[in-house]
Amino acid sequence: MSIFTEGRVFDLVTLIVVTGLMGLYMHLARSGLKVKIRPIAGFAAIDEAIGRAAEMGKPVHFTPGFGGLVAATFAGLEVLGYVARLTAQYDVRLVVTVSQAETFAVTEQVMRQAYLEAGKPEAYRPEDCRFISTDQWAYASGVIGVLYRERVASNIMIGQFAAEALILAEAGNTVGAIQIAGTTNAYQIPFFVVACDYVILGEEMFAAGAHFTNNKVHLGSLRAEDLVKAACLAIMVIGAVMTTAGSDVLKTLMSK
Amino acid sequence: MFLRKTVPTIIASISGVVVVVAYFFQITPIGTLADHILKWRSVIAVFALGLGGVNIIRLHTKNIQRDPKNFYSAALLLTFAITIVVGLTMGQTSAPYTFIFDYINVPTGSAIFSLLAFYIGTAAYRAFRAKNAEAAILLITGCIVMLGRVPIGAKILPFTAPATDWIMSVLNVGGQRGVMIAGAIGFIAVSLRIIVGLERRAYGGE
Repeated sequence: MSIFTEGRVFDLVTLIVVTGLMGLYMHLARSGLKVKIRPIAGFAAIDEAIGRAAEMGKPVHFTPGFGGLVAATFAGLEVLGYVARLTAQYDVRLVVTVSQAETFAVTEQVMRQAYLEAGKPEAYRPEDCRFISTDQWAYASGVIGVLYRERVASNIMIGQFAAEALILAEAGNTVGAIQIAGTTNAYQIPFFVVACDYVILGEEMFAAGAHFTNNKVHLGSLRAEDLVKAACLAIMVIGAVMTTAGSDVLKTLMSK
Repeated sequence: MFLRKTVPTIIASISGVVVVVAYFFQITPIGTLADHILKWRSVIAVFALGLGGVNIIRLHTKNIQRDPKNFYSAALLLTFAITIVVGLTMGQTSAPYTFIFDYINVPTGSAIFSLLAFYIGTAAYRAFRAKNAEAAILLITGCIVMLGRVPIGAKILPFTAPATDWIMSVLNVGGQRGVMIAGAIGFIAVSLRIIVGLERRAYGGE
């Protein structure tokens, strides 16, 4: 009996190669490799959104979405760190709503840390980091309530979203908030595109750390991600050509 | 520092590696350990739920203290207390508890979900204005798909049915797969940074 799980050998080799490449580029970036990233409009608009809230004297609302501690939520929390630092600096109230309990504990800590980094730990209000509910629709109605009652000037939604995405975005639009949204859920991106002012599309979210902090590790992994994407494209083209030519070698290899 | 960053990093690294190894290899002890780790995750999530519950009580108690006429906070705390008391004293399969779930929780959830239908309408109304080239393309594509998806649309303009199929199966699927593939690669990068302790936000900051 083989030690490998059947049908996952190619996946394992791919994971090892991708991981190795990421490790290599993280190391190279730390050693001085220059990596440039293109400006992302959604991230650039965050300063504008917080500035607007400061001028209007109204709060900013942020939510990392309905997901638990998944990669998209971590990307959202990276943005939250920046938003919280900025709101602390400009004395703007930041209200954060969370749907999953495990995310709530981390979110609270991210906010505390950001206020500390901004030099205003006393400005952090624990009641502004709110656990709403693990139930999807209770969470949606809770966030709608916060948006209406607090009359927020800016609504930032970056993380994992599901069917509640459009409900939240439309509620934010109704109160006249400037809206910045981002998710990796391909089914919800169109809803954000039609209802929000700025949208961070899918993988752009993972550039948050590199964009806001110029973190070398993040920059290095972004370079590796781009190379992996190029490799995926090449495999797709080769696969299409081979299949058209009647060869299923690549398909057989990938199913091993 | 040790307890707040080093210990969680070690735990995350070991857990991550064990679960990944269990997925790719058939090693019984590792598989058993991975199952235990996934169970522990659920247990830890329940503890976190307690923190969330405390947050809800603290927030809404403060709201009532600030404004004694705050009906919403009072209603929330009351229903919160009733549900917990009924669940603990009578059990989750008791008639009162299932009544709360089936006749209050489920219908209110469905009511919120039903808002989506109206919000799709209002969002489409705003989006379908040809303000620029991209919006015009969205408008035209949206109209073709809407007509192609209903029998009368295909009757009025027969080309909309095959055009809709092409838009949905080529443009739409192609775009979505692009987002999914790039997102999956991003997931791997974030997971790797967490496992090696380089994703500082995963541990709440620095």
